[in-house]
Amino acid sequence: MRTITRTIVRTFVLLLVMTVLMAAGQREQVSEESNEVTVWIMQPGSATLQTMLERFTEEFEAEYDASVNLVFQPWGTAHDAFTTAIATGDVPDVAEMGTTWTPEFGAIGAFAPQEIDDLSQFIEAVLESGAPEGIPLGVPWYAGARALIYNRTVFDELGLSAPENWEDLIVAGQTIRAETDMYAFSVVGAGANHFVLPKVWQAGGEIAVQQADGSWEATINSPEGVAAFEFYVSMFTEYGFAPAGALNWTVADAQTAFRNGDLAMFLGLGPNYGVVTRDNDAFEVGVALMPAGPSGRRDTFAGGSHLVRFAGSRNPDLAQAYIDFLVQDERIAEFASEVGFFPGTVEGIEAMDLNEVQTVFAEMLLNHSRSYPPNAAWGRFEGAQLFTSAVQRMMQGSVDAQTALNEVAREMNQGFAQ
Amino acid sequence: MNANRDFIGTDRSTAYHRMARIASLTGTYFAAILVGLFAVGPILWMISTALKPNAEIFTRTPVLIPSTVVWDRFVIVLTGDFGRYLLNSIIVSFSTVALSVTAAAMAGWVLARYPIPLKRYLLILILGAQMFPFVVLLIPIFILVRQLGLIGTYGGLVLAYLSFTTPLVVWILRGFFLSIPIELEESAMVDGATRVQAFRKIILPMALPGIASASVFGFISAWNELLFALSFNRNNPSMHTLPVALQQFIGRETTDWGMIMAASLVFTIPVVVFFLLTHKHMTKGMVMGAVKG
Amino acid sequence: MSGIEITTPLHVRRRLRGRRLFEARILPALFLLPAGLFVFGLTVWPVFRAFQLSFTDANLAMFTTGEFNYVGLNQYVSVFTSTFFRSVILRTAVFGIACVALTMTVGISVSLLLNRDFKGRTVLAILVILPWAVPRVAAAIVWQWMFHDQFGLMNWLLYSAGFELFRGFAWFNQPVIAFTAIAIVIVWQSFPFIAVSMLAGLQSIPGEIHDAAMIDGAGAWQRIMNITLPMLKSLVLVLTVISTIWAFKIFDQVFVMTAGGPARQTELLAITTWREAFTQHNFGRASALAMVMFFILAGITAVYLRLIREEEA
Repeated sequence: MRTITRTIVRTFVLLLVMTVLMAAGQREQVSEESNEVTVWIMQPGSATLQTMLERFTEEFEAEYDASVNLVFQPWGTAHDAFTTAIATGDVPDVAEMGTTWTPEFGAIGAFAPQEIDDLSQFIEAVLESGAPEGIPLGVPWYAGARALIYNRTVFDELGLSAPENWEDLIVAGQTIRAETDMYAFSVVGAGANHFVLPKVWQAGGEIAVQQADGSWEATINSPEGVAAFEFYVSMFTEYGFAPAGALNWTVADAQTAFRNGDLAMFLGLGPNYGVVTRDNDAFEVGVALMPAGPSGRRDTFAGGSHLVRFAGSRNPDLAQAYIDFLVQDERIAEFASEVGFFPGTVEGIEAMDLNEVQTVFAEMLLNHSRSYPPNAAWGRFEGAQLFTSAVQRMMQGSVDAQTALNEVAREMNQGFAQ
Repeated sequence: MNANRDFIGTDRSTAYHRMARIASLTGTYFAAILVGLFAVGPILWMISTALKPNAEIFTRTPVLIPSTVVWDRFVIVLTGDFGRYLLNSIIVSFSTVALSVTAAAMAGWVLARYPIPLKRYLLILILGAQMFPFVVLLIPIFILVRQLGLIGTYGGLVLAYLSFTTPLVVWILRGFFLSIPIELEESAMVDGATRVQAFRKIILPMALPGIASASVFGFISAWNELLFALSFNRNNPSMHTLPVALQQFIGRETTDWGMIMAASLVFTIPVVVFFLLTHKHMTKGMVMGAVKG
Repeated sequence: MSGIEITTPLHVRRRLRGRRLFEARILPALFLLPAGLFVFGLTVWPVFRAFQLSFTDANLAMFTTGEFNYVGLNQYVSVFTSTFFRSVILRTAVFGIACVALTMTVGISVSLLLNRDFKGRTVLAILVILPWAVPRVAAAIVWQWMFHDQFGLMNWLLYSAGFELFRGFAWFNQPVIAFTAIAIVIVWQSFPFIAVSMLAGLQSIPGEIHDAAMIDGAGAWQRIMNITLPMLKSLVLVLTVISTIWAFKIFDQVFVMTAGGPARQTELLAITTWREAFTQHNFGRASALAMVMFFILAGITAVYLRLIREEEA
């Protein structure tokens, strides 16, 4: 017994020494090489994309005789990663930035302004979100807008067509609930932001309006806002279009349920369509414009990302060159179409050879997409789960829409005022 | 022993007594099975999910025992990114243990043997330091580690982990040194050894079981840690440790429960093995530390 | 020892005196230094720093431009006037106490079970330790999977047992139920320590005392309540305080299982503090929240230290 203990202890000590030595040798080498840039790109869900980006980067390295340290950051934690980077001053030179984050980090001077000659080439909603004070801080890279993705096989069997407006959506949903054992619509709770906020626009309202003096004021608690939230939540509480667990769903869960044939409709982007159709022989998938609200509008959120150059970049010229390299037409088109997104420019989209499905997504982006108020506080609203909390509490039945949205509006105005 | 005890001083009939004993034994076994299931059930379910084909994972009626065993997930876990995270966890945890146990063995011995001024308060501080909520330390240590330029490195995390492993290990080791008779040291010194030699040659070898269990304890705390790892190495995905990687895995596009369970299992096994090797010393150390002070 | 000194030559004696001085004064200081540095530099100083920051409006700009302002007690005022922060503090306390009560009950019951004589006792003793060894994140993950609304083992067990309600039951929709699920995980991980420690205590009680009580006709329950537990009163108290401290520090399990959702209703103090700092960038207010937690735990720790002192006396 003693010898066993001793052997264990000896092995242990040996391991300790080894790892300490390893750890000591592992200190990351910070290269002062002048031709090096660090680039953060959001982790793409697919291996093809990752290889494509790596290929672009290699081409860039060859052309500029530079070395690029390409880091893939997972979306879910990227916001905190940027926070940490900015707090430590150890920022990348170039980064892909979620459109709602550009104003937030831009406000504390994290990014260098971009010189863009012709602003009109970009899709307005995408550019707008990257230019909080009218000065563009991010170059639109790719863009996309959500559309209604539905199980066409089931719709055909039930003799339904894609819903044109909110009433149709309810009727179709009720038919599906009555005739099948599927759930009807993705009333997600935890990931509700881009699902519920555009409904305010569809109802004819505004989330917040900018005053003449440039300040913002929340109008989310207007009758239209209340109607929008009530409509969204009623599909869960009143009509039972989604399972109880949807209160904690994100779009990923909706997508999984749709793919498994448990859910008939969800709101998704091009990439979501890609995921649910890939290797799917079980049913056909249709895509339709977002159902219109009482105001007749089909507005949705213009998603996508910007490429930004950090103000703290040690190699600004090379960093800018990398951005310009990535947004060149042919690369952007190749990249965007592989993701299921679109280039950030009107021309870029028009140059694409669109299929039937892409036409729908393009139509949503070009004619029915908008951006959230490009205010520095917006990222904190998302971080504080302001909107999703309201939705989730309404789904629990613990608060009514007016009360919840009054609170939201108050918080928003406090945030805007800071 | 219980059986004998049952017969002391009873004047009831043996038949009644046998019945009562059977009832009590049945109750004991029933309770034992329940407790055993509660304790091990989740672990078995983790193993089962990690090993079964996907088709048997997503079923309304759970498949308890996999029809075929799928090993691929472990290959993916160990060769892919998770291999990297595993290595990070190993490096950080072992470095933490090496530093804190070395420092603590010296300090623990001094605290057990020497009359130090203000020793009482020092001991209270060391005991109290174990109670500090990590979250209080998080921001200041973040600032400190940032000033040292160690954010996103192993060193930063190791430094942070020393904050909670050191007091713990000092406490456990001091308990062990106290349990070793001082006469052993004294007699070695009578034989001409210096005090340091006595410590190194006599006391340390005798305290080896204690050092081993303190190491395991420190190792487990570092291995498990999420909060610091989450906040310190965010900007450098290649530096993530296993808890962070696992936690992120959950929120990903499609939740692949089979992979998550396989990764969790790889994460769990080393701890369980260490634990079973030394848990006796460890519990003794902790209870001794806790009760005897 | 004194005998040696008398018979040794002067120069040796002098050397020995030098050695004694080294061994008596310098050696302990030298040996205490590294650990002392770690403890002071990494726990004591940070607490003071957090205290200092709690009176400032430090945010991300503190790092980029280095500027922050002292705002007096404003952060504390905003913590205690906000209904949200107040409810977080309250639920941390209530949930913590509930977890401790459950953990102690389960832990003590299991120790009593393990103290009985039956076949397989040693095996059970090892099995019971396992949950303690499972890393917190892994434990939270496997239980989250067991509580899955569609494919979870728990729902299947419950509705197979006749509770139809649990078909597709969503455990994380309502805060109270979500906390129940989280509490099960917490108890699962913390009862082994209590059980093992209590078992050690139980086995230190001489069998004769039980025998005497048996002769007096005391039943099993009476024996436990009137003799066993009172004899272990101080151990029970110490364990209660330790698990209270653990319960207040809970972060990992909640972070993995609900991340504080739905609607931030399961956020505990540790998570709110982290979120305030690292997603809201409000380091000043986060420090104030952290200090609130520190003072609560300091209070509990003081009780703990007093208990230990009494034990020593």
